[in-house]
Amino acid sequence: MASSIENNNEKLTLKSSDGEEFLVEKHVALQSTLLQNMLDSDCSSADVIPLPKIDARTLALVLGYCKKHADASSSKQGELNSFDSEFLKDMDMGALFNLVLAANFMEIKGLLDIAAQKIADTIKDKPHQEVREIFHVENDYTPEEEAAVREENRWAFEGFP
Amino acid sequence: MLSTSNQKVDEEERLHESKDRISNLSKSLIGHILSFLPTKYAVRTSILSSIWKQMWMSINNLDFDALGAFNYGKDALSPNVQELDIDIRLGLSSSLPADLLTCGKLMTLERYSYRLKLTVFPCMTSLKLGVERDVDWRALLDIRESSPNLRTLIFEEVGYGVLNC
Repeated sequence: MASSIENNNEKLTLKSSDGEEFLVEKHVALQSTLLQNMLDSDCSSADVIPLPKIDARTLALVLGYCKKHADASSSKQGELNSFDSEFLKDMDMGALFNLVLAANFMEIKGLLDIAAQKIADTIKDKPHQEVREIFHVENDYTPEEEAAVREENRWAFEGFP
Repeated sequence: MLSTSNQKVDEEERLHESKDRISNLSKSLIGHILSFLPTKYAVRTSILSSIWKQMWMSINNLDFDALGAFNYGKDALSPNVQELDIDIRLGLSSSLPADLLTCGKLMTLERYSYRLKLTVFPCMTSLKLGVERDVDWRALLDIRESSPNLRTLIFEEVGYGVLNC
């Protein structure tokens, strides 16, 4: 019994790519399927779990998301939804991409989905020149090639500038 | 060893310095992002650059709000599509493009109009069909024959109102 209680309070240490360590409660870490699998297979016996692809700023954001969702799992969904939309509200693109990569790597589906949705929303309804600018995509089409791409999927480009 | 590790660092730096972060995401991650867009908007990303030409084909869902899409969209189906929800209620007489009919992994097709000729859905395991009372049962027979793995076939009676066939 004592050991089970002890386990519930167990904490993990995660280490970011830039060497910062984060002490995380186990139930918060379990929001990540990657960490859950590591815990299940007992791969986490090491004192510190390194996350070499995730910097401290991103990891802090990820863990903030995980804590809110872990602690609020029994509370109202509406509260979580408004937390989610506030969470990404004024985030710059660089941070958003770091977050999507971290959520993908750590397998945190809810976070991956809201970050992917946010990027998708940025693409939607914008002329392609603007999308290229926002994401710094270099257009390597010749005008002829660009016209051919439009022609190939003409149905999708109807009414598109 | 040293040169390999230096090369790796160079590569990482190059990727880090590249401002075009979205094109550097994995194809499956871009597919996931584009799956949050209506299919038409996902297809439009093909105009961004040559890397993006076929990127939208990694999406794992498809929606079409008009049969017209199929008339243009012979490239509109990727081999990764597993579910397709087609809602065709206008009674247009048209056939689906060959690409759909050989869509390798298609497992589930919902609300498929019985009027369209079905050819081969080798992997389809479930099909939900909107049918009217005067359904042409011969067409349904075709589905059985062309889909050897079909385990679930659901008929849903629908009142479409007046149809011009």
